[in-house]
Amino acid sequence: MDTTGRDATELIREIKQGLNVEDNFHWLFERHYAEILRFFRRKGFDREDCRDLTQETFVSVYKGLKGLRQEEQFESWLFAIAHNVWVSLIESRTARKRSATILSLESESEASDHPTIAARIADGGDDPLTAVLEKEKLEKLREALRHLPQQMRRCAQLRVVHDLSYAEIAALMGISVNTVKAHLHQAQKALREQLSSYFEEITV
Amino acid sequence: MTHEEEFRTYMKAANSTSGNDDESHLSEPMMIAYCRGEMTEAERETAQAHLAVCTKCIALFRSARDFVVPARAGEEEVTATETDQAWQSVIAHVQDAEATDAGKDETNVVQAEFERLRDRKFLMDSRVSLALAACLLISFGALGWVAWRLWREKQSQRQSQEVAVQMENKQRELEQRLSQLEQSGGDQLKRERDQRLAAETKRDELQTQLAAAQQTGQNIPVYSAILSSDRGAQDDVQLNFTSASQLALLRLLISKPYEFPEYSIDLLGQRGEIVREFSGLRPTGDDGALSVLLNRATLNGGNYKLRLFGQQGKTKKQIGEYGMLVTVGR
Repeated sequence: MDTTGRDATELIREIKQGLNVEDNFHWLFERHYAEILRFFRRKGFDREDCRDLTQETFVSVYKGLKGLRQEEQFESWLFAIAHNVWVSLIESRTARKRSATILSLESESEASDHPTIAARIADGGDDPLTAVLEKEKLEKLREALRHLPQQMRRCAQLRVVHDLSYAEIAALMGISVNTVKAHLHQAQKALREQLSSYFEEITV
Repeated sequence: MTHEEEFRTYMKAANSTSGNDDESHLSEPMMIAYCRGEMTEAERETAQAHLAVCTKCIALFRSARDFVVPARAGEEEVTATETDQAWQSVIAHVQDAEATDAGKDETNVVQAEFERLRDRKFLMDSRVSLALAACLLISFGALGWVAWRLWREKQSQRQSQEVAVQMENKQRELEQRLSQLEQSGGDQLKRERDQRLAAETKRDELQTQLAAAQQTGQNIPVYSAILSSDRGAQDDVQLNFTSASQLALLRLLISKPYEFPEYSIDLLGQRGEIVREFSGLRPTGDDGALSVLLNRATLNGGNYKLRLFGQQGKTKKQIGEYGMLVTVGR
């Protein structure tokens, strides 16, 4: 069957009605196969894994198509399925790793160190004097961040807190990598000026 | 912790207090739209503000970028042959899955049909069972009713017998009582008859005396004697029957004649035996004398003792004892 010139929404409606299911699904497959395969490749899987994950994604798509309510959002839905396949795989691999590996106290401590401290600083420490000092330090940092221009502040947050690369920050912010670099440089300079008495090292 | 790590920790703490709730997370379509620059300025600003502080949405953003960004230079090309092979594999999986599902459906249909037949059989069985149960129930009911009737009849029969026995006993009792009453009534009648006969005899005697008195006319001698407590000699009262007189009237004068409503007198012989008794004497006349009519035939000449009693109801009190001399003329 020739499906050239027809959009995905129409084909999906036909599939939901049980019309030309295989042909229509074949068309959808051909159109999005490379996209999904590339998605998994960009996640760092090898070619063989990518094929399997892509196959798993399309089998799920075929099974779930009849339940898709908004045909025009097929692409977002396809992405959601691929993303969930990836997340499930990561979770299952992490679970396997956890069950097979006895984590050392040191590595456990490292893994949970920062969030614990972050939470403790945010909530206030156990020692009253330390708590007061930490709170003051945190307030100063917040104040300094508030004084930064919005785009600069977001760049600093994405870089320091979420550990995004310049390119990722640029993509997320919709700006060039050079602009990101400039923002980060300016932010580091401003924060060092304001917080040098509180922090030994400020790197953005 | 290094100084660099310390700063990062504080940055995270500052970041964690920023607005980051579930409602402001970006959905997959929103994220795709964000990556493709298909949002309005306001939507983009809101999404970006959230992304700067939300680790979860940043992960989704990274995935969305991997999805939407076209093939870059240097990335592996996907050939038509490879796509076709992948399609063959996918469709084979899909068909297998469908066959499995169909098998499941068929199994379900067979199972459903089996259950339907079983239900029908159960229904039929249930109907027969119901009919049998109904018959049994009716039979038991009828049997129960007959038994109940018999029991009731037996009960009423026994009650009737008991009542009959009670009635019989009562009748016997009544008959016994009647016979007792008849017997006692007979005795009473007999006594009354005897009393009546005695009264009639006395009446006859009195009539005889009266007739005799009437015959003798004014010839009944009257003897009066005063009885006082200081008396007591043998000749207190003297009575003389002449040859012509059969009767004599003795009038006894006492000091307090109305002390008692009635008086009685006992006449005692020589040996102290009671010869005659006079009772129911009432004081008469102005002097309150007690009159006693004596018959010569019942008295012999000689000394007697006259004992006087005062009577009030059942109480009888002796007033005094006097001598009486009776002489009989030839």
